[in-house]
Amino acid sequence: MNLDPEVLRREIKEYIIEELNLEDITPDDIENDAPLFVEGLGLDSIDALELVVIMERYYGVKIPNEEVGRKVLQSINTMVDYIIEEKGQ
Amino acid sequence: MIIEKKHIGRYIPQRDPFIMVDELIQANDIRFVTKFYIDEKNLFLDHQELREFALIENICQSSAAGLSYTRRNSHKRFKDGFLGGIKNLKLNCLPRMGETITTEVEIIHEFENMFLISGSVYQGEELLLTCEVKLAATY
Repeated sequence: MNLDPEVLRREIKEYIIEELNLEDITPDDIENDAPLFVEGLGLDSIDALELVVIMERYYGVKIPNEEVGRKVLQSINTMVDYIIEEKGQ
Repeated sequence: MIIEKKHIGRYIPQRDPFIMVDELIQANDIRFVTKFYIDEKNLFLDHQELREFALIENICQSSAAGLSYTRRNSHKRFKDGFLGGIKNLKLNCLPRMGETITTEVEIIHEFENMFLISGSVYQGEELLLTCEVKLAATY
């Protein structure tokens, strides 16, 4: 697995667009530090499930509970940081 | 059979005439199987065929029945559920009035009170519809 942050950011954006069927959005439209929910990308709580699935299915990283989820799923950067933290150990 | 038709209302929030599952016939932690007879009073018949949204509802109710049954002793008992999204839907054929459909659902992923579920509806051996649904449960 390539843990280069730039590669991970790009991959995650592509997975999000694909899994959530975000039409008319490209990876370049998603800012690395922008909130994923409500403002920013405008995802809702049920979309969080898809993000959890992406983390586990493509990176083998589990989000054990809602508390961790709230921290990890804030932005593309926080997702990338968590993957690197978990896989780097 | 695990849950008979006369008791299914204890495990799903819907009430007649919106009940789209009769019996829970198999259930383990992640996989449930239900049956449903399509009678002439079904609200979602169109020219004696059951419409596709009723099959999706059937998958959701099958999920609810299985989840409620398998977690009936949990400290968190389900109260209601909401359909949050549908993905990868493939419709091959619609069932007709007088037929019995069998529905298999499997929990692909679970996070807190949200579930990603794969559902397949059969009439006999024939696969009628398959899709993934996102469900959110309330406790």
